[in-house]
Amino acid sequence: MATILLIDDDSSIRSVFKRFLERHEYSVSVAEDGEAALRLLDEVSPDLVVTDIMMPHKDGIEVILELRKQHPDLPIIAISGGMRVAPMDFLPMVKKFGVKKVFYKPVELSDLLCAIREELGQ
Amino acid sequence: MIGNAMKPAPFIRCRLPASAVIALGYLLLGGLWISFSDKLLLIFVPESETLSVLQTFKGSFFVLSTALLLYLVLKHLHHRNWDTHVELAQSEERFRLVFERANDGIVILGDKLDFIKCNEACCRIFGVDSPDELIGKTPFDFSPEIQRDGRSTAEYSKDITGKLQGDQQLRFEWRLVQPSGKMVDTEISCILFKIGDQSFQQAIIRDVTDRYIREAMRRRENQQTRTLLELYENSKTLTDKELYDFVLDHAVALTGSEIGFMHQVSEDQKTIHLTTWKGASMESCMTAEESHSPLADAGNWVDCVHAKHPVIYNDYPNSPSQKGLPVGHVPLTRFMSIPLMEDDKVRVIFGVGNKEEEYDEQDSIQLQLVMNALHEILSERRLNEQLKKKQASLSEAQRIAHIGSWVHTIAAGTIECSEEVFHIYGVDSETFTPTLDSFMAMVHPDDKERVINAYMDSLKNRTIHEVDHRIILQTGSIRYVHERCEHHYDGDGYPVRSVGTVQDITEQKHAEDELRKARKELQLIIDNSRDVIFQIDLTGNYIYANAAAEGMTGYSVDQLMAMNMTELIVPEHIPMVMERLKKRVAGDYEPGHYSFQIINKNGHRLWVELMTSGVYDEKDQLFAVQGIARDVTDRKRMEEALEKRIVALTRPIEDVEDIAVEDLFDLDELQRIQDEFSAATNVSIVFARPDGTPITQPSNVTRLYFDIIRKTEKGFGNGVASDAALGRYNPEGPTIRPCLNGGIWDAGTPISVEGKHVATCLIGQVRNETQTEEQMRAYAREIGADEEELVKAFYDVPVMSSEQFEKIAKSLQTLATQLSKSAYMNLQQARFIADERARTKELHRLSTAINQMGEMVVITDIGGNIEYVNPAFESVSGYSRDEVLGENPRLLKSGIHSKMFYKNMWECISSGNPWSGQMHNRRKNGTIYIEDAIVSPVCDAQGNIVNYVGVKRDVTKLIKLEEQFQQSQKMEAVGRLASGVAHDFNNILQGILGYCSVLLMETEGQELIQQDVKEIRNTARRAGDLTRQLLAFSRKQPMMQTQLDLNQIMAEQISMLRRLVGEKFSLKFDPSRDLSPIKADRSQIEQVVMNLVVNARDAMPDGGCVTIATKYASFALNEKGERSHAGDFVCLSVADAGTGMEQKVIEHLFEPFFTTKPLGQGTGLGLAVSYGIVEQHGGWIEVESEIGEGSTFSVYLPVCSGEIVPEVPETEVNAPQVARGDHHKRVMVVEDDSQVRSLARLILEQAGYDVIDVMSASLATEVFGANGGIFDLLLIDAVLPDGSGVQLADTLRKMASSAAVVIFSAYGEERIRADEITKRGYIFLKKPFAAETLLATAQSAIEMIK
Repeated sequence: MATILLIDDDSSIRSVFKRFLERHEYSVSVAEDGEAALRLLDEVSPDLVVTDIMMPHKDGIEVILELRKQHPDLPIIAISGGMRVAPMDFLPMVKKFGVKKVFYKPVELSDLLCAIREELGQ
Repeated sequence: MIGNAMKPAPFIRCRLPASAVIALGYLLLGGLWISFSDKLLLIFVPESETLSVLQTFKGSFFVLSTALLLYLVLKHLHHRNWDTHVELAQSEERFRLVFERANDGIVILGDKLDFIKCNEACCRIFGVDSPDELIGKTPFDFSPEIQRDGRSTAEYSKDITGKLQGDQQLRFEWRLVQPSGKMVDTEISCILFKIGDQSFQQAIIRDVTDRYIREAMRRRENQQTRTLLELYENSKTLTDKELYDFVLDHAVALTGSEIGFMHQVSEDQKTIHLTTWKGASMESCMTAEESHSPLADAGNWVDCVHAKHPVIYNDYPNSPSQKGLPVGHVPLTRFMSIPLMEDDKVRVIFGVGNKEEEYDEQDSIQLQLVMNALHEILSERRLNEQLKKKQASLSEAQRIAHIGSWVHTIAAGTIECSEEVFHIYGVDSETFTPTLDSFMAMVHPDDKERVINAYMDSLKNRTIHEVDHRIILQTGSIRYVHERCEHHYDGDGYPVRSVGTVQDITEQKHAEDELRKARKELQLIIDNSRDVIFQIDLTGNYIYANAAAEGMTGYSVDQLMAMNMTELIVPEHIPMVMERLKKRVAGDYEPGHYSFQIINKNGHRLWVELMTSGVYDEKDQLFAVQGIARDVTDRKRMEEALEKRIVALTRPIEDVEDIAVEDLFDLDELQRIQDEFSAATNVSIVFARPDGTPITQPSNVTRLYFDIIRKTEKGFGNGVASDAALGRYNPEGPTIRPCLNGGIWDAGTPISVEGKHVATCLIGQVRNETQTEEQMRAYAREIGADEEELVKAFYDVPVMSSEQFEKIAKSLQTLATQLSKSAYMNLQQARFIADERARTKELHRLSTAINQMGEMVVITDIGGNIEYVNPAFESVSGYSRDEVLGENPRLLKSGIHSKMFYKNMWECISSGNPWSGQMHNRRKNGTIYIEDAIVSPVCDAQGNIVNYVGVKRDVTKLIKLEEQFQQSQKMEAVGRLASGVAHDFNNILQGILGYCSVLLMETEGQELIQQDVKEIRNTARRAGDLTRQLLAFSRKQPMMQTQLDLNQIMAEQISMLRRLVGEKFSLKFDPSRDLSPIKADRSQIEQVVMNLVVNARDAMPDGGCVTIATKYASFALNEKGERSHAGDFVCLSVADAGTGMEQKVIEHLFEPFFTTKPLGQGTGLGLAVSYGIVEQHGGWIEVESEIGEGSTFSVYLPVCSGEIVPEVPETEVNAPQVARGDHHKRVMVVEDDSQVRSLARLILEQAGYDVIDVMSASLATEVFGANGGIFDLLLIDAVLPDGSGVQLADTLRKMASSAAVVIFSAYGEERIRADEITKRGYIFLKKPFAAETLLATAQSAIEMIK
């Protein structure tokens, strides 16, 4: 059973993603921001990370950069809901850090599932 | 049978005759028989020796004789046999030669008509190299499909085969085709023969191709001759067109063509006109419809027009420069076209085509012959026509010119004349018998003798008879005629006939009379004109002058004729006058008159006002200049005087001393008054200044005073003193007293203006009884003058009684008073004029200002009728001044304001107050403009309103700009709002969508619930779309601009768009060929196009066509309103033929959430988003819409200026592909941690900043210097390997102080104190920083510096 680390500051999203992915037989660990995620990293050693971009404390980009440093081959999927103040889109940027799959919120869970399966080679 | 078997036997060639051999054999056998039989007999009958000898002799004789006989018989027989054999052999030999060398092909065919044997000629006919190639084949293998007579070979051969089996002998024609394709016509004779059971056909095949050709040629020649004959026959009855048709028809027949055509060629040889088109025969002939076409566009059948001789194309499909055939045209295999020439121009092109064989020279020669004949006929026809025309025009000319012609045969006394002669004499040609007498009877009795004499004289003198006379018509009216004739004489010198003309010159006579009268009258006018009327040639020499010229110039007309104009003109005016003359001669003359001075014979300068006009000859060539000159010296003088006076008198007059008498009076006038007064009163008069110096020439002066007394010093002084005393103002009346100069009586009276003594009028120098000679002598001695002279002069002084002198002095005073008044009036007038001029000048200045001002000015009377508008009004309203003068301004009413609005305005201004406000008015072209207006009443001195003045400014553009500004602000606000809520909104929607998915999984099988959940999911999706569009509209989506070819994008997208619009609609794409690349984000542009196409589709509920077009557009500055940019653009337009939009709709079109679509069908964001995208690309969208006609949206995007990298696949990871426009801020990031540095760089670049990143303070200083310190922001790590960030910032700020500084540092770096940073005006940023925080900080830092 593959393990997925899910990072999002929105609790409802965390819970629904978790429920959905668990239904599809993934083991899901959740983190509410970048810092929490990096703390969890060693503990759960995920097969794949799904991360939001804009989060308090440590945002998605920092997480991605950190992950790239520690686990260059770890598949990452980035999901963005847009910025709050500066209307900017970071998804094209994170692609440059080797994030192959990016999604805009709201994402169809079936699409996300497909992407996860593809990334994990299932 | 024939073959080898036919070869002659060898024995025939043996030399020994066979008869001799047989006879010898017989002799030998007989001899042997006899010898043996006799020997035997001797054996059996030994006694028969004698008998035996006898027997032997008898036998021998018999054998010998029979042998001889046999020999003779045999020899005879043999002879006969020999001859037969030889003949046979020879015959065989001949036959062989005939067979082999025959010109005709000879073949033996088997029962299947297969070749068994054939000769050389056969090979030639069948086009093969050797007979072997033919053996085994049948003639049908060498036959075309169609025979010469048009029958199919299959059919024909069946027929022939049938006949061959029945008949012994058959003769028929057959067409063969050689392997090379060449057709050969043959004539075949077949004979059936049998050898044993086998039957054979011997056939003789003759090549008759040439014969057919010859026959055809002969036929053609016959036909041609017939054609030519028919052509000549028909040439009398047929029209040109019919002749052409005839020729064409025959040309088709002559050449054996299938089709024929005929084009007429225009006079200028530039267009052709297909007139006739024929099929194979006349029946299918038809006249083409109007089909004029340029020669240049026609096919190669017009090549003969250029070549001017027949042109043949035997392989039309592969012929050069062919331009194809019109639709429905018969297929053309080959053709020949022949030009018909007339006067070296091609009139008609005849063409024939689709002949079975190739067209050859023969065809062309033949048709050329026909063309020549046609040309001859046409030429003759033209000549005839011309002749007819000439005759007709001659008699027409006679009729018009009223000239009749006649021939008088003198001996017969008959006269033949043209119709016009009868007409002139007013007689009927049917009833009138033209004889010399009958004509003479009509000549006016007074002219008769003269006419007869003139005629007789000319006959006698052999001169031309020419006479004008009158005739009396039967109606009694008189007509003038001009007769002219020549005489012809016979060999003996007797006149035979006269040939002449008679011309009705009545009108001419009348006209001449009229002219003469008019000329006389004109001359009278010219002669009596007071103005000088003259003509000069183009160099200025006089060629005519009227009598008045003598009066003006003093020269006689004859003298003037020898002069040049310049001799009269004063030197300083010559250049000006000559310049005018030169212009007049050159033809660019300004009308009007001009003045200059001349010097007359007496040396006086005269002012002349001249007006000139050109005089032209019959060829319209200017040959002289005519002038009317008027002496305006007096007027000029008055004008000058007045001018001078005005200048002099309107100087600021503090001291009236300044007023000079010359300025007040016309001195000449004064002199004249003085002279006349003096003459009437016989007193001496002079006008003098107050100090006594004379102003005028004294009149009637005495010798005593002027020549004697004044010549002495004392006398002069006394005179002046005396005059001065006399001039003093004296209210009692004139001062009368004896002069200091010897007591002669003088009187004086002053002339004053405004109480100022300006001159004195002095009279005097009369003596009365009181003066004595002694007194004079004493005075002479006193002043030192010649005593005798003085006394003598004294007696010349007129004597006058004191009363008389007093009366004169009184009248002088009256005159002086009058002069004073006149001087005062002059002064007043001068002042008035000067004031007036100043006012006019001021007015002119003001009106110029009003005319040139950008504001509209309208002046009305109190009734509101327009009295004045300035040009600004004209240009804004579109009405010209003439159109609105007298009209009421309500003509501009737009219908937008209420009645109350206008009422209030009128109430305001009519109560004397100015009104100001904004007003919508309508231009002449119907469009509305908005003006800021101030309308003020104008009051006269009494406070009554006399006018209203409206000063208005067109603020339409300004208001539009304001509206645009507000609109864009509104949209920006919406954008900001949208992006603000989007993040949270998306998270919420994510939750809803996610739970929907989970619910759907968990309620599998529960259909009802599933349906509801799906509905929720759909709604959430719609909300998601909306948010996304809102975000897009906030137009801060990062653009991935690359160099794009809009046409290519459209071409790739078009099929998708077709699916999008559906089957009810057609989608047309009309790309412009030369389209520059643009820099744009491909997906965004695709989104724009999609939005526009969807809108176009929705505008046409019943289906229709959506047209997408691209084009290139270039704009100069401000050409397209304020929002546009100057430069080069690519325009993409999407047009529908839909319902169109009202102006109100267009105004709100790009507002977010504005939609005309039914609820739930449109978000109202499509166009808003498109608008945002296009604006972000530096472009704009234009909308054109007509109700009922449809709408066109045009998207303008700037063309790529060349700095953009071409489109690259998205996956390629290299330098960020972000556009770096000039407006982007420059940032330097100084940070030693490469990860932080590159993150900061990436984030900033994504946001559109230009970023340079360095890793140390020293490098930063270097880069900073190298870039001239032009940075907007410095992002510096607080701790650098070679120094502190704050210190670096300080250094850099000293080098160039315009950059904002952000120092970032991690918490816990104790050495850094935030307040130290902020104290310097730097901003502190905590590390690690969120991307958003970095951007927000950067932005606020830059804004702070601003």
